[in-house]
Amino acid sequence: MIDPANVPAVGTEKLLARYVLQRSHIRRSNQTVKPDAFMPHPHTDMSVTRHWSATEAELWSVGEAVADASGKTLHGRGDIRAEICVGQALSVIADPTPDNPNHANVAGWPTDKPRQKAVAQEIAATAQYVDKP
Amino acid sequence: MRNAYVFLTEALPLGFPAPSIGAEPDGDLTLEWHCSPRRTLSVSVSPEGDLDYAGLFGPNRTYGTEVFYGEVPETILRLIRRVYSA
Repeated sequence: MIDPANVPAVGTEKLLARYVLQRSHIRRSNQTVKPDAFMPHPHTDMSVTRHWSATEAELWSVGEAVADASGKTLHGRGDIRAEICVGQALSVIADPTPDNPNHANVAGWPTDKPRQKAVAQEIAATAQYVDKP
Repeated sequence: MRNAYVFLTEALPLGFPAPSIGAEPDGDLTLEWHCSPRRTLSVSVSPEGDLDYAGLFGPNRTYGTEVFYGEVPETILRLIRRVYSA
């Protein structure tokens, strides 16, 4: 994981993980992630975890903690590139927490739901689904 | 939930493909018609009867809101057809 004392800014080439906590957010027919998983509402930002300096085990450990905190089940994650978010006029801002130095927020979402859905679709179209081992 | 139920069981005309059903973080049910990452339509059904939709059709995107009065708006039907058109 990233050194909490030295958290770099998120570069556009970096991979981000969005944890999938609802089975209905996965298209089982082709193992892809629906845009529902990339909607920020009811929050204003969308939480992600940066891959940078994280092992697979660490990424899954964070995912389990996220699921536990929300009382849900971790099914997998959708990996996206920061540059895709930036291309949708969003900002990816490092936001380390005590339990997750790799935490970041995808911010700058439109305020109306249809536009949020459109942005989420663009992000989901590039996402790579990874099933929980 | 009732609006989504009526949409699926009574309002969607015969011959239209059934969508995949999901839910967004705000609790609204979502209906998705999907052929590929860039030929896809998602419609959220709110308890108040708002249909918030977004679609990707190749390089084009469309989004907006229609109101559900018990019949599927022609805008939504046209977009569903567009997902499956060649």
